[in-house]
Amino acid sequence: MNSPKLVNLSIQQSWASAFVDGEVDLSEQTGWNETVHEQLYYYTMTRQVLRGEMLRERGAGFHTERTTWVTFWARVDAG
Amino acid sequence: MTRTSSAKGHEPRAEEALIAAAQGGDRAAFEALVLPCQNAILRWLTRLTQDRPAAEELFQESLFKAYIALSGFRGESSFATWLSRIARNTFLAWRKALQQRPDTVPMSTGDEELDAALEPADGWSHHPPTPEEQLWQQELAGAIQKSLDALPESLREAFEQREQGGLSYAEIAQLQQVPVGTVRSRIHRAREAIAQDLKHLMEPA
Repeated sequence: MNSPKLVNLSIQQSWASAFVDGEVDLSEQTGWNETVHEQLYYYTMTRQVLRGEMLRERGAGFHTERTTWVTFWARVDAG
Repeated sequence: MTRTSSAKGHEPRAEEALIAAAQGGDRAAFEALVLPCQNAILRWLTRLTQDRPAAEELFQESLFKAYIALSGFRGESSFATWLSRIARNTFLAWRKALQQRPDTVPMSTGDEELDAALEPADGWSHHPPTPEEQLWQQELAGAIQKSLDALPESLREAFEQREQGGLSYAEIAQLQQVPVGTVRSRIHRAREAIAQDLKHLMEPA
């Protein structure tokens, strides 16, 4: 397949992927949002699958993960 | 910190940055730290307790303890190993409390088996998958391979040189004779394409 001509992405746009590779600093991320969380979730999972490490369980997708964290932070905030 | 490897974790440099940010109160950084080892530890606790809801509670409790104690974490081990030790101690306290209850049915796993599962301290990351887990692993690996096969060659090559070859972006840039920014973009686009396919598998509509 021929490579289409693609415009290079900014560091912000490609930050999560480069961070997983240790190629950019945390300080170069100017705002975490759901998209960044989701990118880290799937990029980390991809690496784990390729390395044959244990992975997310069937059905334990990103949204299930978010629910776990919402519960956790509510507990932290409750003291 | 002098660690050079991070079992079930991020690249060491990224992990150090996340730890510093999380110690400063950055919740997103804390979540990102937990992400690579979350499932392995939860799976380990499930094996130890033989009770999934109990394992989930113990995992939440371990996370809570880790978050509270994070300011004292000095990076002498990987974050994942540190969290697994907290999970281990949380499990042991839970088991002790359970055994002191008069109405408790003894755990079906014997102490010798349990001790083997608990040691070495990072044994949480090494137990073999069940047949069902193996099947799921194969499905995911197959989906990733299918995504890779559908990618433009330049994206696939950059991704494989990074993931399988372990090359840095600068080294890939030299090989592909393109700027580092192009390598970064190619790898990102490859990962995003794979992620889209994994999402369909993980969270079907």
